[in-house]
Amino acid sequence: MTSWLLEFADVHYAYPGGRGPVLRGLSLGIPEGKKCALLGRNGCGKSTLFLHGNGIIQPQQGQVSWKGTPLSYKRAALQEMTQKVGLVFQDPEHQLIASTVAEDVSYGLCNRNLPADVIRQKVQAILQAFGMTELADVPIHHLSLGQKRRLALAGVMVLEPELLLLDEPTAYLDRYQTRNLLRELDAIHQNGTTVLMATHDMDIAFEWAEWICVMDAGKLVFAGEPQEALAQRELLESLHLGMPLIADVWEALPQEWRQEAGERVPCSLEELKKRLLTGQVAVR
Amino acid sequence: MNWQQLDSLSYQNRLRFLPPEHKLLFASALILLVLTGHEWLQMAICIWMGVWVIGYARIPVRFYFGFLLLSLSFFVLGLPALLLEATRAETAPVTQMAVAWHVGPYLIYVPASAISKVWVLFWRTMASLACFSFILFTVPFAEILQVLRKLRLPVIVTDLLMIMYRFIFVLLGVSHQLWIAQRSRGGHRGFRATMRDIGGLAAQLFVRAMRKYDALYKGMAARGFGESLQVLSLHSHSRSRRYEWESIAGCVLLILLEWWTGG
Repeated sequence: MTSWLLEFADVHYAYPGGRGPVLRGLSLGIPEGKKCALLGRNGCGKSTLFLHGNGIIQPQQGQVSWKGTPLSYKRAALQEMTQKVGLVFQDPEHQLIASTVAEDVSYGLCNRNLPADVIRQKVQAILQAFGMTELADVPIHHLSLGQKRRLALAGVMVLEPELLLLDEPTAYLDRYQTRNLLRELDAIHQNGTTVLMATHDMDIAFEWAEWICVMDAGKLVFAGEPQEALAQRELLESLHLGMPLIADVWEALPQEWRQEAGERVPCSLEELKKRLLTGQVAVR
Repeated sequence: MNWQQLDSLSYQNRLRFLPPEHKLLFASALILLVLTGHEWLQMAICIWMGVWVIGYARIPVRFYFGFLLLSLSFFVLGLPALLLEATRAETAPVTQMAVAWHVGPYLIYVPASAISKVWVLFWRTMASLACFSFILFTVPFAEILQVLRKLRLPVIVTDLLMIMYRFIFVLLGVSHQLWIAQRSRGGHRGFRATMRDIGGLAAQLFVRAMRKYDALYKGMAARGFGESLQVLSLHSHSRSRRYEWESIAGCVLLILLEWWTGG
């Protein structure tokens, strides 16, 4: 069995004054060291689940465990959890606090009571890594949405979390910025951070992720490899998530082409092109 | 001129590189001189500050004068209370009157002493405003906060100031969005509708502010909020001999002027 980095077991949660439970017995494990995507329609409880991930919300029933040990909801333990689990909100406005870019990045570090020199070094390094050195002294309200997103991500990554949770990170971003973001997430993953991204964009999810979880109405309905997920066509369609465009295109290709190019459903445009090319060569 | 413009000017002016402590110290020293000195000194400070703000910091002239005029309008609003006196005509006091009007049995007049008082007050206000505008236009708020932190102001005060500063722009943004939404959906037609829409906007603003507050609280918790908000800035300032020299020499000259004109 894979070792779960973070595990939710039978978690129930209803917001006080809300119209019913948001999470209804959700059980989900996040495999260590993988790029994971959490799929689900709007309002299915993805954001609420994330707030459980670093202990901001305590489940009303069930349990959340980090590397096999249940989370403690004591103040000091929570402080530590927020450092291990980085959470990037959908609306960056909700997590940017200070007045300038550099100050905001330093916020999480200051909360850890590091010496000022170390903080300055780390801030400088992360701004360089995210290509934001020129923006260091720009006030936050002068930034564009894309820049705010990057800043929110930089502010979380500077703490070097073991698990990064991203809530709809590609929403409202243009193609170019989405590409950039995915590249950055790949780099983050390569440096040893497990990444879990909540999204409803099937194309991005299947192109990028190595592990797919599907949520519906506060429950987990599927978890597994992308290929296994693609085999569950009826399930994905019954949830109105649909299939990734590439998988649909693949489906529309003539049977013999597909047989020539191998049974595996391609996950990205690049893969499809390559496979078709090799298939064509074989037909000739 | 609005808040956002003022804010961007303070981040982009030519004197940004000077240490904020120096600029604040300079302006405070001048304000002290303004409050203790006489008109000649105050006029000189007004002109000198204009040179700093417009000449050195390259703040557009219309912003500088716009700021002074806007702030002076409060002074103008207070003028009637300072100038006008009224008594019954038969019991009029024997003071020198600059102007006087008979209104029925009453005499409304402007005493000569009030005019000289307003003259003194006018220059004092102008000079203080000029010094204040120097701070506003050349020191970004984030740097003022840093100086306040260095001065060991209680953490709760600097935290509140920082959050307030951040929220000014969040709320301005939200209200602007709401206003655009109302306009593009056909609101603000006629006086009554405008009043109703503005009321709706204010109510929505409140609701959204509460929601933002809740979300921001979660955001801060997710980033490991401890007892207080601490941040560090990367910006390094460099001292400038030329500006230091001019400010010190100028202050000495001003003190001499004050002494010479009989301070």
